[in-house]
Amino acid sequence: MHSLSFKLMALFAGMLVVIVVLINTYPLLTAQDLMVKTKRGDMLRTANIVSSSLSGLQSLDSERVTAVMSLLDIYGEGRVFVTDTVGKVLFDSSKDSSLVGRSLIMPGLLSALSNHDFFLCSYIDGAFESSAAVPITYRGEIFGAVYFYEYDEQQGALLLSMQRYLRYMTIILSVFTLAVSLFFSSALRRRIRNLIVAIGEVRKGNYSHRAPSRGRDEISLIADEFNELSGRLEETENLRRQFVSNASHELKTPLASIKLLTDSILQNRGMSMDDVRDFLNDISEEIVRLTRITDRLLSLTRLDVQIHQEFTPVNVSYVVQRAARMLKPLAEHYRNTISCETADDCLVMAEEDGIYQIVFNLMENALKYNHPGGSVRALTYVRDGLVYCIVDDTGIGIPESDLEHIFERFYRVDKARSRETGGTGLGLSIVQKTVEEYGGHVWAENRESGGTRFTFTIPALKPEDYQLF
Amino acid sequence: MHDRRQLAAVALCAAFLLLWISGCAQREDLREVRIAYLCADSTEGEVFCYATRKVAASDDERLCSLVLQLAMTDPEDETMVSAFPKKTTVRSVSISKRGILTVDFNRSYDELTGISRTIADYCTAFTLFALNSVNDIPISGVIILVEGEGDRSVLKPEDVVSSTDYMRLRDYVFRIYFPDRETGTLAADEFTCTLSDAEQPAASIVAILMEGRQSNGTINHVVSDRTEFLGLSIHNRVCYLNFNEDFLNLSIKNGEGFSLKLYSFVNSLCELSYIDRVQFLINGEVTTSSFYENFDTPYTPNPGLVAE
Repeated sequence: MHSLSFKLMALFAGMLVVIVVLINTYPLLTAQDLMVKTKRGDMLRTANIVSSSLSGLQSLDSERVTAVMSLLDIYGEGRVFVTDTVGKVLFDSSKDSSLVGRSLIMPGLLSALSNHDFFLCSYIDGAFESSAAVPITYRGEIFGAVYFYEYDEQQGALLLSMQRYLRYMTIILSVFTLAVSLFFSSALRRRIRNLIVAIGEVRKGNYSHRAPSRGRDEISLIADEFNELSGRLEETENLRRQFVSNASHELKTPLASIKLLTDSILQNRGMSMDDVRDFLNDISEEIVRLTRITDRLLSLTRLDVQIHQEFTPVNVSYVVQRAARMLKPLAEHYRNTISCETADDCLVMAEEDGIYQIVFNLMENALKYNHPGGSVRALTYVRDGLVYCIVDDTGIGIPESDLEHIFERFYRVDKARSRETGGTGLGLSIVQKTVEEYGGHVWAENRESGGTRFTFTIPALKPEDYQLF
Repeated sequence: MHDRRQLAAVALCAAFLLLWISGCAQREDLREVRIAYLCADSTEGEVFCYATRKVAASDDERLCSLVLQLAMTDPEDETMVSAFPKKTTVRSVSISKRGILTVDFNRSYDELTGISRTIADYCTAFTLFALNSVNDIPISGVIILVEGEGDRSVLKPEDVVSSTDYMRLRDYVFRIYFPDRETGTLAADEFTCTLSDAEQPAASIVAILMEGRQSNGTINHVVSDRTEFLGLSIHNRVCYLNFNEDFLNLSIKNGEGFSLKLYSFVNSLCELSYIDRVQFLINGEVTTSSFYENFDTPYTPNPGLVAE
């Protein structure tokens, strides 16, 4: 009762009933009305011709009326009576069952003898029964009446056959419409059921299930959108699983080291204090690493939930210079040089800490994965409404196959070296997330002369917007 | 004292007797009558409308006067009105032995002219004919006079055409069986008749048999010239044919072929789809006859008599 197909069927059936009623009534009523109007015109015209022909007699008697009427043959299938003023029939056009001499007391005759034309037509039992009556007058005085009667079964039969054909058409139309509506409503119901099944599967956690999609109608669009959505869900779920797996692994490694070191101290009673101190130093480094990983995971989580921060104009060039200054000791540690070429008007709407983290991560990576004696160069400029920030290094470069994965969480090109340098595998993910939060874009490429180039762009603050700040 | 008591008892009995007689008389005279009026909206539909009333009268003339007075008064039903002028009165009503009722109205009736007069005439005739019979004689016609003068033509209800049933004509093909005295069988003859819906095909068949003219023009008398056909009615697929007593004398006169003539009617009428049997009546009564076997029961057709 509540199903869509039932409602659709009910709607179709309702519309069908309306159409059937209209088809079976309106044309018939119109045809009937037309026939009645035609009859009215014809019969009154005929009656008036007879009346005019008789009005010259001045007085009526059966013989004279019959003489005049014998000259007229205009009444076709109808039956004409001529009466005097008391209703006595003086002439009957029918030779069979003649009513001459009898008193005609009919409603039409009363009207005619009251000087009113009369017409009445009714459609009964497949025949038109019509009566028309007009007075016979001479110099304004009524001295008789003409009564014209017609029982027309031919036109009635025409109307009946029309009704019959309409009924056949209606039956065919009804069967066809019902069959088509049944087919379409079943098809629709089947497609909607498929969609419901697909939603149920995804709800249960089967993200790989897809709803069948055919055609280009709204249901197909819904199915496509649903499939897109479930695809995203599947992807997100995979990422989540991978992330949890990676995070667990990353957290497990330092924890395992700490466990090993503490077990060594506890089990080796004769360990010298220097060795113990060395072990404790190692434990401390592992704890720092753990802290760094959790900090970065927190940063990523914050970026994932997209807590909207209040953006302010930030000069990227200034931030680049500050980061370069801060990284100078690290550069010296790796025996690399660090240089900046910055333009003055590199203003973007962002958080200064966020921009600093991006630039710092990129420049720190450039120093860490560089050859001793290498160089790192940071470059900023504005072009086409975008602030460009480029970080070049002369380092070991990134294999082309890894370039598209380096922004994924916990992805490392060289895992051993990364751990050596204290990398967490989350830095570039944070960079990408942060740049995207500011409406920007980041990518990496290998330089022809060796080394890697990281570029990020963020929409520049327009000069006319400066006034607002 | 004793005589006084006797006298009082006799007086009391006489009073009771008088009361009983008068009560009986009243009960006998209380009759339901049908009054003809003019329909209020007579320009469409019917012209004549009818209302049923109960009246009590001491004699037949009084009864006729009473029903006519009712016809002259507008009925309570607003859909009908009296066809008579307001001050019309009945001066007298007389009944002839042949059942002709003569009604004499006062001068007010003369106010009516043309078709209005015809309508009033037939309201009178219809109302009086609805009494069926007065003084045990069937009403056969009505004459209307105004203060003893006027056209003495006899009005009969069948003279009025008040329905299109009289105008609508249909062709009927009748198979009528005439007696063939030489072979002692019935010979089928076909007639095509045009009748209005107001006419009974059965009456038409009877009329053809009464006339005795076959379709080829040959005269073949089925009944004697003096036999009168008094009417027919059909109930429960039985056709009741009413003749005068001369119908019974036919066999004596002709002396032969009586059953052939009887079955001329029966077989012919039973050709109609709605008649299965025929009952003969003499002057409206079921009669037995020494010449006719089972004359007091309806006859079914006898196909064995029909010539092949």
